[in-house]
Amino acid sequence: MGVEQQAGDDVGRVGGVLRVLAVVLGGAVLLGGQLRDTNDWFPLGSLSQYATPRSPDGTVVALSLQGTGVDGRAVDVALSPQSVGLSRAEVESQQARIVADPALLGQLAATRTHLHPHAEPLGSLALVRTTRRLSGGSVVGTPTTTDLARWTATP
Amino acid sequence: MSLAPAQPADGATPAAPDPRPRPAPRPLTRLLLPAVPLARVAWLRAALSVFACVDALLLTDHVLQHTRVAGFWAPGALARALHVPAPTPLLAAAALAVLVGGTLVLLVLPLAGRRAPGPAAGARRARASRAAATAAAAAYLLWLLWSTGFGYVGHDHLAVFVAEVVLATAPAAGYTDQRPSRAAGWAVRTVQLATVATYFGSAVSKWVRSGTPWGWANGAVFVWAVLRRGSPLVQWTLQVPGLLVVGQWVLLSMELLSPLVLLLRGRRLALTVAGFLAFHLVTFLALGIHFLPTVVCWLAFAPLERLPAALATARASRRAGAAVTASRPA
Repeated sequence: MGVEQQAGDDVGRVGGVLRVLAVVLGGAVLLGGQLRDTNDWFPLGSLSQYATPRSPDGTVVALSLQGTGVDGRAVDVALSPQSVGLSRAEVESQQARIVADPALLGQLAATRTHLHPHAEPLGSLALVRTTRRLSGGSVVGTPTTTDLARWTATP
Repeated sequence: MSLAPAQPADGATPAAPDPRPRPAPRPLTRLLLPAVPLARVAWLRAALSVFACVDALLLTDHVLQHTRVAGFWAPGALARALHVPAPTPLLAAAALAVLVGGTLVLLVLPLAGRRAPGPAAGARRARASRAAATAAAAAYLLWLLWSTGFGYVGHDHLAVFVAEVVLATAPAAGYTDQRPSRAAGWAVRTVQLATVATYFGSAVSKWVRSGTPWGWANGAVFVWAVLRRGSPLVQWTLQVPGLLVVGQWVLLSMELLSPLVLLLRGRRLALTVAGFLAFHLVTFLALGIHFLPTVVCWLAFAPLERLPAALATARASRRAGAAVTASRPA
């Protein structure tokens, strides 16, 4: 580009050095974020979306919510911010906390009531894991479901 | 490209020309602090500010729902260091107001130039516009910390986050200001680097998690993705797992080679950027993943400073066309 031979030296020596250092430091932190595999350093943390290898003969798991009404009938509860305040990925990353403290599911139920005041009230809310088996990269068998944690409304 | 030196249309007062010969810039300076027209930064800032509003209102509007689940607030290192509190309805509304208000000021100020022309008024407008952009950027960064502070960090916001920070350091600039600036060049180059690093870094992450690059590419990640969130358009691929493995190799190769984009110019650069954008269109159609925050940062590779001239040429040719039509006998 022709402009490089023209004026435009509006960055002094110190400013130039600081800018170069910022790029080098930012790059180093980003690389460190990958090597340490941490999301904690956002925006320079792990770029690990879809980075985990999946075995063609392994399993595919997904979390979902299953609610029941106060009369015990099943109630569909979508696992999304619009439904309960959190996305599936957020719940998956906090799975251990929820399993250790199922009362946290009560907060999701309360958020659902706040966001959808006319929805059927919940008597319980469970965090459910669905597992599908792969063989040679293809799905085989029928999915299995497991309740990981359950919150029950206090009457 | 024809770039008129030191004659701002709506920017700051031009500096007096320095008659002394300048030494040629060092390679590192040329690489990281290229002199680019200030107008490029003005357009990039405006585009990213508009995108930030779209992002907050449509794509990361889950922050509004996050205000109801404070018990799940799990801030990252940066949010902890800045003592960012969990979002509340009031805080979220205030951040949105600053973001949208700042962006409107940024967009409307240049239009005021028609009423109060002249270099001094132009400089004032450019400074006010930059201040509005900086306030809007700060509100947007806060919004992103709230968006990512509940356990899930999507890596599509790396480049746009970096862009908002570095563009705040670039000088005040008007949309037609063709004066070269290394401060502006550093900001643009850093956005380019962050954009490319998003792809290269994710290849490194795959490598780290798999032990080897081929460990990831030969696996079943795409099967996993299609099973979890595949659209009806791609369900057929589950019957052809070999094709998905080929797709994984193509993606990994693209990510590992992405730094080469920084060396390309002209048509080759345009075609390569189009290739990356096409990839994002495919993943959007297949999995509903749009990656728009990264997509918009590819604008840093475009000669945005040519927009006013291109628009003027288009207007002139339209007028000429209309005149020819009018002068034709009925």
